[in-house]
Amino acid sequence: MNDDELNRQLRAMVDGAAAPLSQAEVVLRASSPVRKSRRDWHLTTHRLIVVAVAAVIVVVFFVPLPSLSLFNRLSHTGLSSEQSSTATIPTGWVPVTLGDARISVPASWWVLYNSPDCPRGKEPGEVLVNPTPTACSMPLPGDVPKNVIELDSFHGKHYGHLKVINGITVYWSGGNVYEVPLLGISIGITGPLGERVLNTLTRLPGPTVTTPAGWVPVAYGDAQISVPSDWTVEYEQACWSWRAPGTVEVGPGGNGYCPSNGGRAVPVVALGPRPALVKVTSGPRESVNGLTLIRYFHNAAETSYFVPSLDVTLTLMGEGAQRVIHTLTNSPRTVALAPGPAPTVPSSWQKVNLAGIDFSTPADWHILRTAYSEGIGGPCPPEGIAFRTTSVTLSTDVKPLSFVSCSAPDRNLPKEPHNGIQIDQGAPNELIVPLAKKCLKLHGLITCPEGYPYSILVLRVTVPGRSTPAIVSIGLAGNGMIARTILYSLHPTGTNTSPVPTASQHEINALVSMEERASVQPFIATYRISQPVKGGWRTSTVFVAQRSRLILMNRDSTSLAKSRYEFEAVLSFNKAEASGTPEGLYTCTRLNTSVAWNCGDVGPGMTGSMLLSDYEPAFLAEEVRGLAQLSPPVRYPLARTVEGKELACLRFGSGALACLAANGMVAYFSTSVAFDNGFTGTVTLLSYSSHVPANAFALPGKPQPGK
Amino acid sequence: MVSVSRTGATTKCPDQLAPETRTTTSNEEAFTAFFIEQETRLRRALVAAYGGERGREAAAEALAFAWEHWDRVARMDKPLAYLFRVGQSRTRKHRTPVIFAHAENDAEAFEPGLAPAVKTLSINQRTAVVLVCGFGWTLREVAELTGTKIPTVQKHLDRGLANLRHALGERTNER
Repeated sequence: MNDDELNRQLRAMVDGAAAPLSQAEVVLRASSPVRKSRRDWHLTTHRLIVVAVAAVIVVVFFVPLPSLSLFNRLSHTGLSSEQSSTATIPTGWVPVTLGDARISVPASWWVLYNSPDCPRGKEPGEVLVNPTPTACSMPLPGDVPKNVIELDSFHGKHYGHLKVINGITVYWSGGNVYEVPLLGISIGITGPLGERVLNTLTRLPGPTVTTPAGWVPVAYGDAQISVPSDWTVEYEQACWSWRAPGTVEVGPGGNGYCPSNGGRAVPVVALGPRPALVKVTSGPRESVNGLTLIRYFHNAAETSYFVPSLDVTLTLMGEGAQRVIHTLTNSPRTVALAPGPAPTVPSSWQKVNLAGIDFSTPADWHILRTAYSEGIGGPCPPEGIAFRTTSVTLSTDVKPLSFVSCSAPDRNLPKEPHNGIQIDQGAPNELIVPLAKKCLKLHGLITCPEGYPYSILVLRVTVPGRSTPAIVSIGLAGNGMIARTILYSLHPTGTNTSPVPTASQHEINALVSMEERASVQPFIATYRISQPVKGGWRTSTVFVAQRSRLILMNRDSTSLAKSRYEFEAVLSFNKAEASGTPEGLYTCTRLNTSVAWNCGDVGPGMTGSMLLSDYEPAFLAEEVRGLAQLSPPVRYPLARTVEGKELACLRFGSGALACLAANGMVAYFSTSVAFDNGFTGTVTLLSYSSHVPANAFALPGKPQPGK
Repeated sequence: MVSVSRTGATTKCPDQLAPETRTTTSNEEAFTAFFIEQETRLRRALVAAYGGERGREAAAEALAFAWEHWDRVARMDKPLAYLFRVGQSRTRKHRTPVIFAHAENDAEAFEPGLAPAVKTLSINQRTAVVLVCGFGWTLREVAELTGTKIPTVQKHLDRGLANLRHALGERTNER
């Protein structure tokens, strides 16, 4: 590089590093109240305030009241404490869930899932969860309204007056229907207890994704919003666009002084860093989805919020922009980088290695090995936004990508971010924009988050004994748990040990006996099967059972034989299943796991459609290997007596049973399972977790009897 | 030095105005003229020393200070050097890393290894190299800015250039 070229590049580097200041910005900064108050503080006053704040912190931290103790809050959650579930279940009530939403109803009410029928008005109350759309007649004037709750997927059509229930924004959309964009549901309430049931609405603990159907998540830093998929998305633009039907501007840039080339009626939403000019500490505060927003600017055309817990600014302009605010939530990045225990890597995942780093990914991810340096998230700008495919890319970066044809689209539509991972072995100096967040030490690796605050987590990973760090890019999609699992699977080559189970058998037993016996929460259980094969053992996860429905007991008896067996077990890769209800047996089949279920209601007395025989459950169990089938002891002989109580059991294979008590799973009976090849295997409980959102494994949707 | 204010009026730099002229010019107009003249120089100097993030923040703080205390700043012989120190001290607690982001277009692109190489220089060396080589400042101007003597700046410049060449050479060889 000659002198002239060096001088030119120095100029470009410095001038490109910081945008020019405007006089208005300087004057605004000088006149900000925060600055003035800071300047006017007397030293003694300052010291007194520091002492007072320290005293308050000490008091709050160690105050013995659990509801106030900061220590208690910090020690119980790794995520924003604002987002935790706050509603409690009234005594004598039971929870009903749909997705991440939970309401509570009296234990004596009827709960009907996937009903193809209209509400029947059963006394004392009725809950319809995910009902099949049906035109139902309205109650006649003068009819006594009965307690009916309909818990349905998000309609997303109407927005009206809002109220906040347990930190969740709820919209009244007319009649007796409420929309909850955060949870992707709608709730219809009638009857004298309807309002009280609505007030029990809460969100199940854990990270959630709240993107309505047909919308696409857009992330910046710790924040995520969702916008309609036909909006234009732009990143780090100096001047914002006003493109119909809407535009979302992401990242730094855009000062609002650029000339508008569109009508102000077009909604424009900007998600970016905290205000550069003024430190926002005061202003009207609003609560959206449990997050506190400070409105620091507002006029007829524009409203700007600062979200302290996410450290972002959200600006809304034009008609229709306001609806986006209600999709604001934590980004998958916060889940991936949240403090807390490392997630367990599923045993089915594949192990990959490059640049002295071992890591794990889902087994079905395609591995692409390349010598070319393709950039992060693809060679075409904008770079580092999101992965467009789910894959594993291992790049040694020894060859530059010589020519790439990148056509500039007329406008960029937001694209669904994908999971994935890319490791770049070379050229780490391309990234010199650290995010100034703490580095993580993972199994001896030093991993430092780098730039690109969007849907790719870019890490500079330093491996002990290697002079050159590698760049590890992990896609951030969904609820961030896959990214977190991949992140925590990173370790130096050769130091890995066998996967650690979620919990030891002792811990599982303790969990089951101490927690689930006293709870009727949904749970999920994963079983692993070890099958002897030629040359060793093959271990695979064969069974994922989920109780997404709650057990409702008759009030006059706790006998399981008299209970209404409203269990439901769903196997992620099942192609057939059956479930019992007070009305009879539902049987459902599907050709493969990517198509909808086809279900039939056998009905009492063997009437109605019948896909499978309701009196041949053993036939059903054996036809579909791994079938999770609840066997009520009255109808089917799959029951065990444990501690003097007769339990219903899940059966799979030809001899394995997992038995359930009315208040949770209490026993698993491991028996040999016969395989087609004549071998037998051993089934063991791999993991057990409560508080899992319902239907997590029931893709692509809940069975819909009658459809 | 002469510049044109936003109102179109031809304006002299504040430090070159006669006292009687200052009294006849409103504070706002005078500050505007000063801002137009010195903002770029001050920003470049602070960015050269502390990187994009802190440098811009320091420039904004310093100019805000100038606005607040214009009566005092306007009478200074070397307001730029004074504000350079203000920017340094007002952002001292930030301790942000030295960052030089990539340019967005090819015309302003620079060698990927340049920013890491510049980061290896000391603040004094970096300031001297960038301002003298990159922006054509004289040694005297840099010396006034940093409150040092011309030979000192010369020494920083020589060592800085040598170190920069060395760092660039190493990075080139690594490839």
